[in-house]
Amino acid sequence: MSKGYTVLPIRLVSPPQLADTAAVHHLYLKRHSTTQRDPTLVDIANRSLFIVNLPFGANFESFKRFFGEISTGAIIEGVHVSSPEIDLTKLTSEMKNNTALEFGEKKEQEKFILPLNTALVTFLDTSGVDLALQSVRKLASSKRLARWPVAVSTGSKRYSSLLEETVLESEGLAERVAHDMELFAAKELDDL
Amino acid sequence: EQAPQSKRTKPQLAAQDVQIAREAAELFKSNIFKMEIDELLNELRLKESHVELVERVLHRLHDVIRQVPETGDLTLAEAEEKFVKGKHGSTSIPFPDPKPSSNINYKFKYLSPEDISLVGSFGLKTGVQRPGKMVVDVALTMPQSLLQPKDYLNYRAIYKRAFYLAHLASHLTSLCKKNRLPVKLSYEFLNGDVLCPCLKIEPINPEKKHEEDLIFTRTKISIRILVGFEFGIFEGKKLLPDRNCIRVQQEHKSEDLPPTPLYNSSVLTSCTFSYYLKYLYTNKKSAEAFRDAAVLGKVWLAQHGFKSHIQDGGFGHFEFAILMAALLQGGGENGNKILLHGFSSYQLFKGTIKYLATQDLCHDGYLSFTSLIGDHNSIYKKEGFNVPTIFDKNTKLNILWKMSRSSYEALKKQAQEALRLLNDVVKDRFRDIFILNSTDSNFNFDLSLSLPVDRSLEGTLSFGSLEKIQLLTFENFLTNKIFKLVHRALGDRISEAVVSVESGASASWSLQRRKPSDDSKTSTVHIGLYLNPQEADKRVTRGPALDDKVEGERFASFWQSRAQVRKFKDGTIQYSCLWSPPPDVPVIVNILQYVFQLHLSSELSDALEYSSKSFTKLLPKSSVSLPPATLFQNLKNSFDALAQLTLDMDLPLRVKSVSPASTQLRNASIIPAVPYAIGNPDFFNDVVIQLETSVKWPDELYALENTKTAFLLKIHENLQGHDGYRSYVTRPLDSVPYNKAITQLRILTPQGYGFSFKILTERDETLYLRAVENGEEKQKTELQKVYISFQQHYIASVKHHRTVNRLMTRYPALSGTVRLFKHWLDSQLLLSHFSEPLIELIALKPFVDASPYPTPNGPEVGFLRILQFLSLWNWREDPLVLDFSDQTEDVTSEYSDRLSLQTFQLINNNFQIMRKQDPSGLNVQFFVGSRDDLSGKLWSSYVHVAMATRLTALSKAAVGLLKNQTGKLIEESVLKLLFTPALEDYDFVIRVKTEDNSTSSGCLATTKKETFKNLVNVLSEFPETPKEVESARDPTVEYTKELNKVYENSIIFSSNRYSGPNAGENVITGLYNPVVVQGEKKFKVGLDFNFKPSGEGKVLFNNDAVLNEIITMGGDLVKGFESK
Repeated sequence: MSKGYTVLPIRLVSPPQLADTAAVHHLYLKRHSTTQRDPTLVDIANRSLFIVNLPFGANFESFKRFFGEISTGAIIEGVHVSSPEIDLTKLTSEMKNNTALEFGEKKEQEKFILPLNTALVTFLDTSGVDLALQSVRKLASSKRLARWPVAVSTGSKRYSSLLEETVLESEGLAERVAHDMELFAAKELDDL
Repeated sequence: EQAPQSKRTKPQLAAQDVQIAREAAELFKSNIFKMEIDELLNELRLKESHVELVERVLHRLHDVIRQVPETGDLTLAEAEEKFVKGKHGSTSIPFPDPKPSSNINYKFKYLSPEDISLVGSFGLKTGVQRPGKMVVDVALTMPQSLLQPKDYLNYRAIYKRAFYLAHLASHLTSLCKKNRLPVKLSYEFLNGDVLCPCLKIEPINPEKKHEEDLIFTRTKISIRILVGFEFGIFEGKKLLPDRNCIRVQQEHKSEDLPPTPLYNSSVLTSCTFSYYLKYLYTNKKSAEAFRDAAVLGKVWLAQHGFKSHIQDGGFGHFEFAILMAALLQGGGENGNKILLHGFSSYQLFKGTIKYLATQDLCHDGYLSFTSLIGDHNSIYKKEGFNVPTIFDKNTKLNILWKMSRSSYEALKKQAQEALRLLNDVVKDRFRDIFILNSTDSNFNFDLSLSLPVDRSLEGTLSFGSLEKIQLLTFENFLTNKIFKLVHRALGDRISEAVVSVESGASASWSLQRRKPSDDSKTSTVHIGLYLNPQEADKRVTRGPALDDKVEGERFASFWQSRAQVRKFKDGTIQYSCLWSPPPDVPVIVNILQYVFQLHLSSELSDALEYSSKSFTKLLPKSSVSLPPATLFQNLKNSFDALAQLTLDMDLPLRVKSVSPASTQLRNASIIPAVPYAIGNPDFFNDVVIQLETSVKWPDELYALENTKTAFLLKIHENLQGHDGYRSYVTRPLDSVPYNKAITQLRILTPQGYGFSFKILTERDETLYLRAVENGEEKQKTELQKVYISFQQHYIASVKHHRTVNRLMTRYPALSGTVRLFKHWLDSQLLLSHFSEPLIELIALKPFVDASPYPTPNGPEVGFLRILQFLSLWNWREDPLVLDFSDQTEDVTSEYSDRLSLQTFQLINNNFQIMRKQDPSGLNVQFFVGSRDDLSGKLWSSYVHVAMATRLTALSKAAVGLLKNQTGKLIEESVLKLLFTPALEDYDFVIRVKTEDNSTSSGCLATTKKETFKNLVNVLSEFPETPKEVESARDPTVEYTKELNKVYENSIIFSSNRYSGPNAGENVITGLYNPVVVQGEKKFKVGLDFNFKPSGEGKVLFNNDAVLNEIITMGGDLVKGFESK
């Protein structure tokens, strides 16, 4: 235990190219706490685990499978992985209400600013967190290693789809742009 | 009336101002120069202790020489007999070829020398410490009684001297031992003059030392004993360069024998050893700075490969000093003094260089002077002798007799370059002039050729007895013949040719042998060419007009079957030759092959090797059999059509400009622009569109981007109406960070090319600057990055493109050079770590600022000079400042856009300020300032310091490897090594195998031997969907990018950007950041690396987990993994 964190070693699946090495990853987990006053945020914090040192592919799907495996009954509502973001809308607009439009439909969770290499895993209810934490502690003290599921595509599929996904369908795009511009115009009008 | 007058006076005033500014700058510069000169001269001064030791050695040697016994008159047979078995082994008499015949009627004799004196630079006290050994010359004068006034004829004096030297040598061997002077003796030709053997005395460290032994090995000084004749013993007039002094039998007695200038000069030189020392000594006394200027001359000459030795151009310290002395007595066309006695060493040096650079001493005229002390009769005379000439009326010697026309041209060119540098008022050129060495032919010539010539070919090449007396050696004969042939054959295709011949013979040889041993039986002709880029590659050699009968016949007899009469487009009818060399063979090489076959021998022609041969094999070949220039031009045409289409479009706002910013459109991409090559990473050409000014742009970044997208969609709609054009919008993977709303319009043209349009508005910059201003303190660094990235993507890239594109026209070799350099970087896995503009700017250095070389006119030499520059660039202390203006422009011209001293200093100041904040160059290593970027760091920010250091280290290693090739053409194996990555330097290597995209990237795989050109599918259409187009690129590149992003602080990943030439094979290498991966760290939230617990509150880098992740991420792409 470090600073209230539970250190949970987990087993990574060895890719065939590295057959002879068995790698172990270490998750650092603890119950999330917040200094925020907003009751919604306090509620989210109470239902969340703060996780430090993320393994590859840390997303909703992999955490769901992982906790499904080690702690049946602890159901995940959402995962918020830290990512370095700068809101250029906020910084470039001189309007009063200057949050981003297109990317403005933020989930409440994302209002937490997370440090690098960390994630917030939110469970359906507080008992979910308790259950999960209990299982984690039990597992950490046992010799058994849980397996980390990678739920993202890898290899050529990963990179060719990354390239393919850069293509935007013109019709959908045109509609969205038109919509956003209308919204922006309305907001500008509003601001006057 | 008024207006024109003021127009006329204005430039005059400006010119005057510039002149004043220039003088001030020059004064300032010469002050700095003076300090640098003083420092250099101090560094070069011989060690006092060494000088003292050598002086003791010389005294002892003097005594030893005086002990050599005298002989009586000996016949040739007796003389030879005497040395067959001496006390200490046999000694041979170093008779030159031809050996004296047995029927000669004169006698040989040794009498103690009339005079023993120190000559050369040690005698003049201008000796300096240089790499390699220093030589002290001691001249012995044969007593007058040993020679007859007629002995200048038919080698007589030369033979007598040979005996004299042999006698001296045989006795010195034993006498030196007896007198405790441990030395080794051997013969050597004085400055390569085969008529003048001398005695080389080198110190040795004897096995059994005696306490009185005078050992001087540590001084690294050797002594040379020259044997000369009394000054004035032969009548100078008889030995003038146009006289014959070797009488040989010839078939037609009526014909005059040809002059023997080399022989005559050699004899005269032997009469003047100590005479010229006195002359120079007097000059040294009369001009205070003479000594220092002579040393500067010596250093400058050595850095450019010039020495008194025939093989080193025949112009060294002695010739420089004599020229300087002559110029102190006059030298102008009216006998006016070129140098004044009160000049500083800088002024004396510069004046002499200027004279060499501007006065033609070969064709247009020559310098006539007299070494008679007190006689100031030095004058430049018009009409030269077509041989380099500085003529001493007193001794009748042409001081430049050892120079060939070829070496004279080379010297003149170097002097012109030095003068240009000395006149530079902006940059300090001290280093370029005196410190940088430009003697390596591989780094020097645009094209180097070598031709091994078997000496058995003497007969075939008609080196007969008459040629022998004129030119003395087969090597001189070859130099002469080939120089003339090359000039005649290449004409204005070259700006200069340097021909030198290297015999296999050793420089010095044992006393037991008459002449140097030579087992190789081959001499190698080295031809170094400076090309004239406008003419070099022309397929037609134009001769005289049809009606010029005389010249026409000359032309036809030279070119023989190749000569034909052709009518040209402009209506002229001319004699001409047409060349159609095989692919990859330069026209020049093709011409020389033909001419050598015709005028030398077909055997020789086949043996001709040239430098670019192995280089051309290196660059990836395009799968379309068109030359790169044509492919690039086709792309340009496609762009021009699209640009016009766009400008004509009916859009809510008119398109103001369509500006390219793409490596392919500026001829700087590794793979030339092959149509439909969607797998080529450079396939899409970036284009920045600007629309007419509008006040309606949204005042917020994402909304602005959305508006731009709407415009791109309008262009997209417009293109639908044009046959063959296809387009779609994408979200760029590499663009301004955090701005996720940026889109670009991909356009595929009917010609098979791809373009990426993005829009720049007049609001963008304001908004990005606003973001920097509004950002919180901790975001500032990131936001500055965002701003720089915006600049790079939208504004600077267009400016950079314009500049490079313009320079591509000025420097025809630039395109090939840049492509070769990028290919080298990629083969060394470095390309992806540097921005393309930075790479191109570095590649421009040897072009816009070529010193100490001339501007490169071949891609190979351009590439090698980049490597050399990089290997020497201490980027922690020195900025690179580039001036893109035309260097030939007069800086004082009002219209000149050359970098002013003020701008230059401003850029320098920016560098100093930057380095103060970042002394070890962690953030910015390669500072490249120019008029385009005064900050100097626009393209070099955020490079890994480890990669910058690696680039320097690799170029050092490469140059080191190439230095071993000095004096010969670079071997193919060495070149291959240069382009092989040193994988063992990395911590681990991931072998990646992707689909073979060599076809889709438009190039032929160079690694697969079985690739035949006819088996490559030439691409002729685009795939159906945009997604297929986008995903045709090598996924390894994206994989590597992701790895670098995820492990930003702990590991640096490198891979080939162009895997096409490797048939889809690629590697990714990893280099750990030791600061992160080694040792324990304190646990805290926000650590940006994968860790594992290690003791209370401590963590360690979790290498196993990281490697597991890396390989998992790569999935099926990874074929193998190796780690240290």
